[in-house]
Amino acid sequence: MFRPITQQPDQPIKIQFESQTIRAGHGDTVAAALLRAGILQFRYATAQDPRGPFCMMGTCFDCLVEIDGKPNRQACQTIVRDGMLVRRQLAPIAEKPDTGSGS
Amino acid sequence: MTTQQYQVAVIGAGPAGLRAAITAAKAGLTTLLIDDQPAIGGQIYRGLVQNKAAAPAYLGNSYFAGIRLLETFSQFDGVYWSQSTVWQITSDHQIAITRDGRAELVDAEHIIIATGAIERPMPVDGWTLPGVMTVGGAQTLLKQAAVGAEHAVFVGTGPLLYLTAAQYIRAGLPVRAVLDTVGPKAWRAAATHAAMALMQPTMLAKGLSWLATIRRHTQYVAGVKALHISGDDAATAISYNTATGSRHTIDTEHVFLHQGVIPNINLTMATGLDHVWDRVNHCWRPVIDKTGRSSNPAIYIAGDGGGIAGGAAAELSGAVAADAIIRRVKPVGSSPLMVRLGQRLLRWQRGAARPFLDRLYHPDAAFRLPSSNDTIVCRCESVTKRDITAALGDAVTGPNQLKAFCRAGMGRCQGRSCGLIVQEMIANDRQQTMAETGYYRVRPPVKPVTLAELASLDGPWPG
Repeated sequence: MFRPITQQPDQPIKIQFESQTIRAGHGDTVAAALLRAGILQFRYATAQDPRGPFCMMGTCFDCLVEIDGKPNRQACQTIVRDGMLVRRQLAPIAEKPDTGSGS
Repeated sequence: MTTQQYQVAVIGAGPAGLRAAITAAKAGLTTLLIDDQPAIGGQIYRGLVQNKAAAPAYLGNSYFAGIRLLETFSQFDGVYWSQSTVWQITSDHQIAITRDGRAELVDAEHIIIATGAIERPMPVDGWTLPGVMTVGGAQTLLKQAAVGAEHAVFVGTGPLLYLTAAQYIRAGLPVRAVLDTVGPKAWRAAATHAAMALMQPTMLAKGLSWLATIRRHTQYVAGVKALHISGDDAATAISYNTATGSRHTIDTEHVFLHQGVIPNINLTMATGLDHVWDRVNHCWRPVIDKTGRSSNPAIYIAGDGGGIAGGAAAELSGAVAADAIIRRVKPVGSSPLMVRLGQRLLRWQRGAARPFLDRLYHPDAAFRLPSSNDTIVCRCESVTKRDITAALGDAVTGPNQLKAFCRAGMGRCQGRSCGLIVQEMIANDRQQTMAETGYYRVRPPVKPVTLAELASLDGPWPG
């Protein structure tokens, strides 16, 4: 289990993950907030291939989640906002307008 | 829309980029600093801005030493863009950036790329399971969010592994075990090196103190082999062989992997700069001169992105690169003494201290390659060792052809996680060198860009 090391300062921000409400502090990344809440599976590459945050620096693209209806957001690079709706990605979602998926 | 113009654009706000931007702006050059993180500091000083006040002791002195640089930056009078992602540098030195959901183009006379390092991939069986992270990732959580895992197992080698395990212990997080793929052998080898004794005594002392902390507080096993992480929906255990061959299993929900860092070359490669295969450090690095100038005379590389030498050397190289540009823009005689000394020190760190660093960072071949057929090599496209072996049977000749055969390297990370693994598998199969085998052809955009972001650009797609 991930846990806070020190007494957490104010956590005034509430985000929604699936059916769960999660509290977070200013400046927290979505990945840190979810991990602290005990969530490890952020997406499923296939039904048998769960993934979660791996590099935490925007390199590996394994922590992709859906944020406010937009798929393929990097949870480790996104700062929480009050009322944010975060959802697990159940399969790789082909984001059509994306030009960055390789050459 | 008029394109913004700068004399110097610096990409990356770690020690190299910060020092470069500060130096250029102080000399009166119009300077833009672009960084993809919410705050300055790069990976090494991640979270330092917010940790400064409370200064939790478990993070250690060398982390807080970065405060000096951060405070100097408070006088930076250039332009600083945070949370801004560079996805292309064009042939006429336009930089394409995404920021606040919009794409922007910036004209820069000179560019300093200071995008640092990434962790060397370590394709252990089960490395894609949730609960498995890089040690760098675990450390980022610790620095940026004061979050850590209990009863984690640290696996691999290198200073960052020992440092982070020691930070965990000092933070009061029980560490289940440290499984060292090399062992203290590497430290002893480094310690016997002459350059080491002259040049890096504090580094050695630090390393030994981290190891002492680890040995005092957790199970430390050196020379482990045949690693396997098991679990269904998340990691539940790691198995390993000891040096003497006995098999052991440790139950754990958290495995942190690390075997050194390599230059982050995606932007420099996509920009078409010359690169060379570094046999000793087993990585690609851009070709640069002593000032950091790349094969494109308007583009400099500072910091670990030009070759791994650590935070102090990175800061120095930022000053040296900025000084070289200042001298080209305003020829005002020779460089200040500090910069000349810096250049010399830098050459020494990259030259004389190299053997020491190389011994310390050296990754073992057994952990650079996947062992089991089911191990995922390309994390983005879930391409296994079996898939790649099959493609190799189809007479694939190089990494780019392999992409087309099995999609390895086609995903969002653009080969950052699998590039070296795939390259080495091909090299071994073809019995050719890594240099002969070559790397993926990396093309812009180096980070995904959406059409909506592109649509916000007034002009045409940058070319």
